[in-house]
Amino acid sequence: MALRFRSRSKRKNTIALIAALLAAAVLSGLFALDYKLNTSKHDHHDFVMGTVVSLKLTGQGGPATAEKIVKQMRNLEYKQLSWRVADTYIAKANAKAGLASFEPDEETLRYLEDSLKICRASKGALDISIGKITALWDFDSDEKVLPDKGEIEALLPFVDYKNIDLSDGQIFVGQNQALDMGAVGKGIACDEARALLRVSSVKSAIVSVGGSVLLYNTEARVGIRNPDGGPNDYLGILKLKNCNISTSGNYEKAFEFEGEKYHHILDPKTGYPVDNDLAGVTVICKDGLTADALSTACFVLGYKDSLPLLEEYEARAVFVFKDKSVRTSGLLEKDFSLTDSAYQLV
Amino acid sequence: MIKLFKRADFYLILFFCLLGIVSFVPRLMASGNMTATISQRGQVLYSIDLDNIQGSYTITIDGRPSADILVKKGEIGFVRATCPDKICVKTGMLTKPGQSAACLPAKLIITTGKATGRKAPDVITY
Repeated sequence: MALRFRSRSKRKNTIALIAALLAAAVLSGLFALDYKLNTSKHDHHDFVMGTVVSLKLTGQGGPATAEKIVKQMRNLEYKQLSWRVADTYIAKANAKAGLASFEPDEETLRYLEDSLKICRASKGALDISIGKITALWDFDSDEKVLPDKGEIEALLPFVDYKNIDLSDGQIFVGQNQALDMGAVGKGIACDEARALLRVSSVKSAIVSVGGSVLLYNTEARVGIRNPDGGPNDYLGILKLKNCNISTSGNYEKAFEFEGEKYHHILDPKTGYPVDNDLAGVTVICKDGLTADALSTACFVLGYKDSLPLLEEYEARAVFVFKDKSVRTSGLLEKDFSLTDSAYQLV
Repeated sequence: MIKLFKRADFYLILFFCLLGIVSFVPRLMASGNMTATISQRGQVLYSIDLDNIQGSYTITIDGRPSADILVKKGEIGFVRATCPDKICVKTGMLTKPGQSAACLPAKLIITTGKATGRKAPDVITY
């Protein structure tokens, strides 16, 4: 050894010091590496289910996880849920409506079972058998025209979720009915994202599928869209953690025809867009399908009739009225704050 | 022996203090400018530092439909699109972090961001 030490004890001490510093350096390096890996961020924006998907992922393996999530969402759209795509399980079941059953995969059956539970709980305010009338309106079409009143009236008696049978792992759709999973599809996509995030190395994530939001292992400030503003205008902010949030509003996929405004949330009892005192409802709960389904059901039911349903599902909500008043249900003062002075909390 | 270990303790404390300061440098560096990202079909086409724009310029995204995106200091937005509904143009210019504008037919999205800035929401539900 090149170094010479005056005494044996001093040499030992110097070695101990160097060893301690090296250990500290290695430990610090590991901490720094761990910090870097766990805080590395990956944002991904894509288009699925006719809407924008935004993924904000924090942790390891962000790009690969984002790819898997988007692939799974496309699978939902093109293989399982869309009524517009001819080969999905839903489209195949619709094609056999009134004639025969169709056997889908287990997941699709589970989504249907969960959706039907909320159809029952909401006493038909959510009704996934409304597909034939949804197709008449076709809100995603570039041509904005009103459907024929006679056609709506002819199909309306057949809108009844009770005629959908899921016995023996098969879907039977009633005569003149069609399944429409549009009210729950984005929430299901959020649930599928959560399942993939759980088996990934991503620590936390904010997932948005057309405004249906999943907060995974994170706290976030969630703006509620201002119904009278543009897509980036919000009227208030929710401070939430680890939950799903979904909003139904009278501004989405809306169009004007001969001076009248029509939006895409149909009342299963009339076949026409819901016309009550609400401009929007935001629901917060533990899973995406329920959040999505409840926001639609509550928008149809109105404020008072929604409260027992929200209680049944332990969900919280923000109701925005056309007169710019805002009511909350189950939310604490610290959870929600208005940011637009045109609105008033009552 | 006791004296030397006291000095070692001092070195260790100093080392960890320095490490602590160094670990904060990336966070301090991150509290910078407003940025914009233009993505199409999940692929990032442009990442732009909006605070470092001199004058203005237009980015044309070719395709069916095609779109023009105007970039100015602190602002970005769709100004022309050949799609039928033109929702992207109607969204207007994005001037704050956390905003977005999308052209669904072109599968094109602009998002604005900033590493810090807790005032804007992290996401908007609609």
